[in-house]
Amino acid sequence: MPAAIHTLSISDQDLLDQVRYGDLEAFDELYRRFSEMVYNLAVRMVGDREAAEDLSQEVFLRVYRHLDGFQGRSSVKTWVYRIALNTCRSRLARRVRRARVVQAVDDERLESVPAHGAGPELVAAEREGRRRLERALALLPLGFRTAVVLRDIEGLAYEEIGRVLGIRIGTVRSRIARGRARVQQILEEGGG
Amino acid sequence: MIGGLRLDELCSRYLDGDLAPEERLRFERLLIEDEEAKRRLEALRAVVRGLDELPKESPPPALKTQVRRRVAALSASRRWLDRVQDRLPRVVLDSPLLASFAVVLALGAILYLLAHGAARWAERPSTLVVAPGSTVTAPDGSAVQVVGDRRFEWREGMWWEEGLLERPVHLLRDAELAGWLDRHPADRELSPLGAVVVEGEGDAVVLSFAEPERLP
Repeated sequence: MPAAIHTLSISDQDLLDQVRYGDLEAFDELYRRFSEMVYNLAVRMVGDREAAEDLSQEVFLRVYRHLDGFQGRSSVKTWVYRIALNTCRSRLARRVRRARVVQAVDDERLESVPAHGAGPELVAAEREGRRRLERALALLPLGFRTAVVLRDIEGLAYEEIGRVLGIRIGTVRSRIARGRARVQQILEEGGG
Repeated sequence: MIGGLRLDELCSRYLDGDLAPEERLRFERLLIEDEEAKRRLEALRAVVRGLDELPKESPPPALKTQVRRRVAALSASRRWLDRVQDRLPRVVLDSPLLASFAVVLALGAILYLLAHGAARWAERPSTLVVAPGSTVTAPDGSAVQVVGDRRFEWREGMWWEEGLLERPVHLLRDAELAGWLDRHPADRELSPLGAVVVEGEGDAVVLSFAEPERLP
């Protein structure tokens, strides 16, 4: 059986083992399984698609370099999420240090996202709504933004978020609630 | 408040189906009686729906090629190192001349490290772990005073809060601090107890967020 077909049916953990033994086709499959998740998370965390590309690259290189550090105490998905979030946090910290400004959402790329089959006015309104929401998200403190992105965009359960962030479920609930309320407040104040 | 929960948290957990049956019933009764609670819930529902409907971003196809190329390079260098590690001891042991050369090389390396290592060690990036209750000044003049059981580390030219997932600590000038607190009114009440931890030469150190459940 060709390796590419074989890797489709194996678990994330076994796939990681194959990558560890130098199987680059297994790495391709690992990339296929997690690249969208990593890239999407990076876009929402840093609000910038170009930076998200760089970050995604860095995340997969870190995954490869630290294969031996994965001990199977969490799922591979949780482990990749942790690496991705740590990479985003480091990047954001450097950005805060240098410029102390919130990175604006990539308006040009946002304009190119089609809004499903609606009239031009509705399309424009939807785009504006999305843009305001993305800006409000970018204004959230990092801890709240992380929790809200993992819950409302990545669709993780509270327990999974707790495992990814290494925090108690009560803290997860509180950060999600406060993060959402803050987004709502920013939108109401017209800050988005 | 129901069950000690604030309205924001009630609305959020209600939307996630995370309230206990009794709390849920009480909250639904509140929604019937209280227009403001109902308005807040609907506004929050719109936020959650909006976030859920943000388009999923896909990585550009070229990214896969770039990642693959870099990983292949890493893999090749790893294989080369493995081969060298496998062969070196046998080659060295089989040849007295090579063994002598390896010893001379090792001694040379030790002497070099002794001569230059101390200076490099002194120039290494500063790493400082702050114990609870103390105040420590970082090389850039900023300082943190640790409140509660938090721990901070000075690394890569900035403060980090330690933990499973380390969090950067934002440094704001005094003038910026007032603006920051205005934009984050919810953190104002938390500041003295956990969120804002201290001052340096004209700087204040503000955590990017706080954890309300740590408060008394």
